[in-house]
Amino acid sequence: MKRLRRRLRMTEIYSKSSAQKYVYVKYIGHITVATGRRAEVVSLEGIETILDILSKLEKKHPGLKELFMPQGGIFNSKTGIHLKRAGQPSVPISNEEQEIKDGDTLLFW
Amino acid sequence: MIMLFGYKGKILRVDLAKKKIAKEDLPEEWMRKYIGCRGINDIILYNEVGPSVGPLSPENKIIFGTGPLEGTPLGMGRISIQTKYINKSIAEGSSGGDWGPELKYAGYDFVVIEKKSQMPVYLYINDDDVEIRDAEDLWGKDTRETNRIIRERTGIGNIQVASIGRGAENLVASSKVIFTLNHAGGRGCGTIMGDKKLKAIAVHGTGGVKIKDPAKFLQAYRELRKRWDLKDADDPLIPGFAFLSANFLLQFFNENCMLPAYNEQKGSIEGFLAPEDYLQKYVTGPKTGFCCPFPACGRRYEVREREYATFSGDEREGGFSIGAALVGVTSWSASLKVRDLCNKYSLDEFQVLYTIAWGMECYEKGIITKDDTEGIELKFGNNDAVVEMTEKIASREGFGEILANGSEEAARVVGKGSEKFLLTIKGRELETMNPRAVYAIALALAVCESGPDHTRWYPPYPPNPKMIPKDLAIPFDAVKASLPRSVEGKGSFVKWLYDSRAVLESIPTCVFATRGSLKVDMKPWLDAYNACTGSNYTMDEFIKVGERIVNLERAYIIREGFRRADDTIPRRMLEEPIIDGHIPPIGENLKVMIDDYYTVRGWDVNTSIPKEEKLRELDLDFVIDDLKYLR
Repeated sequence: MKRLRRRLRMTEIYSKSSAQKYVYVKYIGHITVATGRRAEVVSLEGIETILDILSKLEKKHPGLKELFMPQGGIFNSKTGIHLKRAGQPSVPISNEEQEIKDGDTLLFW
Repeated sequence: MIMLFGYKGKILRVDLAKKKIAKEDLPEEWMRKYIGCRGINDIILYNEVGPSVGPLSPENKIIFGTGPLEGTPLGMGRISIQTKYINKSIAEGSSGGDWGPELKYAGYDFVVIEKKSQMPVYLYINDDDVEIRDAEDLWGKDTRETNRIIRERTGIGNIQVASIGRGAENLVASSKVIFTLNHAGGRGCGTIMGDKKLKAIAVHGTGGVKIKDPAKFLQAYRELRKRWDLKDADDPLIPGFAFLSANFLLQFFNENCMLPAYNEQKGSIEGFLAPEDYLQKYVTGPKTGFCCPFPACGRRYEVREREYATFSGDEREGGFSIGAALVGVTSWSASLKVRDLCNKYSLDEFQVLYTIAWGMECYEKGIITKDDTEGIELKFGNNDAVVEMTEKIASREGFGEILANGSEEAARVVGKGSEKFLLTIKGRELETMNPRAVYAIALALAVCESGPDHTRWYPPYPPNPKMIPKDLAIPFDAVKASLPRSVEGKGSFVKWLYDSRAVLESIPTCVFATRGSLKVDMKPWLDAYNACTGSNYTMDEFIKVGERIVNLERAYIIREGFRRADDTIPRRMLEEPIIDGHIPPIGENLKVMIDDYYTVRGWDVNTSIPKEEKLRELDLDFVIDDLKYLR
């Protein structure tokens, strides 16, 4: 448990330059076990959709994509993703093609 | 004699005034029309506790009910307790634990408590041996102590005890009944138990439950277990709950601005209670109920910090820790102390936290001062004040005397516009579910016959529409139902939730077992019910029982004077946004959804009274005459 907590504390926040676009990703509950952290900032370079970001995160956290997009299965059948966009209420995401914008916050749970 | 499967076929009637105990047969018609548990409790209450009966009169009754699946693994120990509440609505609540199975094993499906005792008593049930015993020395003892003493006195180490503590004895509003190991239920039923001077009911049984077709029952059970399994389950909450229990929702609600923070003025809180801290610092072991397959609802904990030192096993983790945001508490130890006090005194955590939160908002807005609170600084985030005020509510001391009657009554006493901060429906405090964030919650809360009670309509969202089997006919549009802040399709969705959950609470089972596609797929439960009892209900007939139960409950509160105007939500939700979550107020959307709900229900849109043709369709003809002059 102590080791898990140490890992959770290692929240990684990269410095953000004004030219680049980013999304904020937060991991909730058991997802933190897969990622070892509660939050991170991800560059939007080459990313347009939720599926793109899952593919990018998969390189960093192997197995994460399959949690949300099981092979041959249904997107988010065992998980959930909420999208928070500036000035708007958060909404659940039911479509892996959902577009991501600069400054969005994604909650993976 | 008819061979009964699933049922014992017996009602135990206990007259506390005459100290008389009678056993009577359970009418077969009731089993067929209402199945059991909540459904049969309803018909007993409807028939025997009419509009002329005052809630605190000796004629009011308390009914403890089980159903055919009780005592089998699928019953999960669920029981239903019901009475007429102080505001004349229905007080009904279900609980887990081992008390219900013991009652069944002792040979009874229902216990009906009648009249009032002059002196404190407890009811002792050990198979055929049923006695009303003196409890004068137990009066004033907390529920944990009562449980221990009764076990010692009866010499039965595993006797199951349903008891009340100081809060219910002092008739604090919404008090609960606390079962062995702090399983709690029957919001408001504890208050009426206190009024009847019934300290406890201790039950022990040695019988079993006969199942008509064990092989088919086992098949249904295996199907359900497979779909609840941590590895294979298709529900995001199963792993989340397995990891962090119901406290998992804390972080989720906080990030989505769905916490009821600061009397629901905001949706998130700085320094919210992190569930990992709870696990690491306080949890001492798991806790579960009779055959519960989920490690979800509670843990045992111990607090070593001197000022809040306590230990307990608690099943209402989520409610409490989410409720802590209401009063701005950001200390686990203080939150756990308040939990423990509520368990010991049989207080309802929602009533306590919402009422204190209302008092805090009044205090911060200058409506009440330190002079009113006897020097307590009733500010959001003041942990000591919350703990102290909980004690005072239970004892009806100082400002606690005003809060003990619930926040609506307190607002009447305090006045000065304090009613603007109330978060109540039909006189009862909310239950931390956020209606502005999810409109299905708003509608479900508004139309609930017993006041806020999430177990009657949980969960307020369907499964991922792509996961619903194509051959499964469901009477609502799952895509529309899954949109959190859209009014379209919510009427038929919420109707289905109410009807299906009424059946589940009557067979009974735990509504929190509706995970993943089981939120809409009732077939395994229908199979289990048919296999257990030997019935051959179709799915339509099964769900129709639920619809009948909801209509009977609606008829009950109509007879007591409730109408459409009472089906609403607090002003704050209608008029104020959740600023930090950018979530707008609900406004006129509620009216649109209620119109839709009444229409799909076959109820009059102006009054909420069920139409005659609907009552006939549900075989509730006897209700028609009762409502004739109320239309």
